[in-house]
Amino acid sequence: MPDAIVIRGVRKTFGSKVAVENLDLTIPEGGIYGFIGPNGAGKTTTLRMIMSIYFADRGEIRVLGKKSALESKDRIGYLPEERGLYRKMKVGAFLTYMARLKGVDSAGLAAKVRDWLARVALADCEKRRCQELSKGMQQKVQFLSALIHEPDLIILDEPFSGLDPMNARLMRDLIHGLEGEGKTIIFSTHVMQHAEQICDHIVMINRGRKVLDAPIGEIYARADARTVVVEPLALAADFSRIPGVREAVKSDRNGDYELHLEEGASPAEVMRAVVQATPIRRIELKRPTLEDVFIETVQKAEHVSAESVREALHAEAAGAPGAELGAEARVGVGRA
Amino acid sequence: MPRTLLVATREFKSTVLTKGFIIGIVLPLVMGGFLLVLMPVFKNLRPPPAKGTVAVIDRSGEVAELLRYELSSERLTELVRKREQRQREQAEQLVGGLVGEQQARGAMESAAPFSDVEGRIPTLTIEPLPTTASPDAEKESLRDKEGGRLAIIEIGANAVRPRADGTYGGYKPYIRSTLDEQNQGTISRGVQRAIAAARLRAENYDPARVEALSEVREEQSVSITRTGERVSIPGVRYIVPIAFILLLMISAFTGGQYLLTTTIEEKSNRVIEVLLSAVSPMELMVGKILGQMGVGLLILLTYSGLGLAGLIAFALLDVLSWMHLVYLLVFFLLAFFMIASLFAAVGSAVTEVHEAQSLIGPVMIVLIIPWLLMPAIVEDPSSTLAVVLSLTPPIAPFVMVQRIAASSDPIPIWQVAGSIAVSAFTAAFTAWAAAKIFRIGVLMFGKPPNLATLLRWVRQA
Repeated sequence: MPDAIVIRGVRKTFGSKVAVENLDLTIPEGGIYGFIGPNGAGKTTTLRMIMSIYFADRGEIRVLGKKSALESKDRIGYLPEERGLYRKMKVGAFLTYMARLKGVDSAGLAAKVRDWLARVALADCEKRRCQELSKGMQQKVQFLSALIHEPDLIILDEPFSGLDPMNARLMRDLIHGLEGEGKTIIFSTHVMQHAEQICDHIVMINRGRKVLDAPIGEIYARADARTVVVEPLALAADFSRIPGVREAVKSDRNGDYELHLEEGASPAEVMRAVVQATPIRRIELKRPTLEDVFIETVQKAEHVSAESVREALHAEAAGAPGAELGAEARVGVGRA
Repeated sequence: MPRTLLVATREFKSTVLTKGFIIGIVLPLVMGGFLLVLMPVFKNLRPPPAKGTVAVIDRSGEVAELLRYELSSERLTELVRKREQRQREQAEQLVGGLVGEQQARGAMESAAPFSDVEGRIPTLTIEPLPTTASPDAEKESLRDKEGGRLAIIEIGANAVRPRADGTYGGYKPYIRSTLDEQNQGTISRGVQRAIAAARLRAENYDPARVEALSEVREEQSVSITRTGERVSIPGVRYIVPIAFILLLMISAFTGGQYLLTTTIEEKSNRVIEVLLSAVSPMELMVGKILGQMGVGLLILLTYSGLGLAGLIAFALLDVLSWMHLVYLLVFFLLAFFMIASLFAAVGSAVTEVHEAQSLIGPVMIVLIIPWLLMPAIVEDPSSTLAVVLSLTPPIAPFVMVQRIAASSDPIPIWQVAGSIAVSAFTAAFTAWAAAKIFRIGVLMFGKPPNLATLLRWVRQA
């Protein structure tokens, strides 16, 4: 199968700030790829370089077998993080315009637009101006503007940011539907749970460098499960005394204990010892979350504390949309 | 359809098919018409005629009586009537030469009937003071709020008969500060006429006879043109240059202004990156410029069409040749591309309209300079200054258009070609620089860049 995207040795700087460094990445056709990493990691920059909105300082990017996205734009659907509509334009006219820009023939386009609008329950909005729609409806129109030309490669930058739960589900269904049609989907997110829920393959980026690139199953298989969760029937045992347990933390909420294992301890043996020590209602080996994997990976790669990585990862919550752009703007001006 | 044209079509339609645009293009016409109607009204707004006395200290002893005559209501009425009659005849001839005499008379009659002369004549009483009176003492009376004294005129002893060396004296007016200039003028001219009449009389001439002999009528002059002749109209040679530069500026500037706002709007709507997924920044910018060029062209054609209609109506079409219009179009396209590129670059770099103000300043200077230079260029369109300026970027197109419009002989073709080349080069260069700024600017949010930053973008991109 040919590759949808091939990136070789790409570097991109904004002024003195290195946004992406020495990136190699191959994305085969078909499947859902998740780009994860904290804000400012270089995800948007990478996606923009794939779209030829930015140009790499160094390295090579091939998209759908062509030298750049400029030659295959009509086969790519791109939903930027910073997305909007022409406020005064009518919904149908806007989608028609976007489709025409993407090279869709005008014959039969009106029917196609109506069809897509019906698929997202906006059938009656064709003649309404974009500014008359609710925010959620506008978001749906934005999805359609990226999908109306039925692209083979779909790039979604933070598709879930700012979505209400209903639209988030619609987005997920759309992504799965497109996957079923054999399309290649790349999306970036800083919310690890979203990636966990839908991706086949994960690419982790931190500070402009790729730190992990693997199928999600492999990531879980590789990641050590180092936490045992126990729900005892009664408070009987001191779990921290069990060999191999480094620390036992009681959850305030439901009386669970989280047993963090020592380096090299066997989870199977610890679990056996726990069951022998006290009657329990439930015991499980907790699978690490993607966030845990991310933190561990970055920790190992960059020799920093888990707390600082976690902080970076959650700083996003405070960051308003466009924070990433703002950072770049500041860097650009900073050279003056 | 190529993407650039799709962008251009949308840009054009979304600008032109709005109420704002239609109002924008019609409003100047309405305002112009309004002014035309109001101007005569304003012109006729005059202060009420003065009423009061003019005191005279007549040290020559020969002027006071004549002054009484010159400032009498009858004499002032006669003079005003005479002047209005003369102006009217001139206007009739002028308009008559254009539309036919009979029609002209009728039109004038209805447009400007003789104004109410009597109502505008001041009522002045002459109050002779003793020749020994001191103006210093008398002038105190002019400070009184009440008291009807408007002015004191001190006629010099030698005002009428010369001194030994042959020189004449004059007069010195003291005037109440609240007296308006219109009435001051009436009094001053009356004094001058009275003194002149006294001098004539002293030399044994009849002042009335001299006045009659000094009147020389000039018939309406005729301009001989290449194809015929028409009445000369003062200032007609300025009409076309002014009209051309106005057209060029209004159309280029309006289109540019729209480009600025739509670019900023696309940025603040966050629709810009969605667009960039389909078109390259260059395609987007060129498409937008072409779309707004259509808008500018629409404005240009609307106004120049009206202008042409006006020239045809007044049979003045000979002031213009078709080549003029072709050149106007060519230089419009060049000037527009240059200005629009600059506006697009500025629009792409900022997030809000008000942030664009400081960056638009330099562009405005480019637009204002040719306007300031106009008198010099129109006066002598073939002067070295005019030639050099018409080859100087970035003002070349604006200056050349004025030269072409103002010159009675055709401009040497090498100069026109040179100016076109310079303008085209300037337009290409600004478009190139603007494209670099545009590419970086459209995705730049946050603090607006300053001019130095923009220049750096041009160098680095």
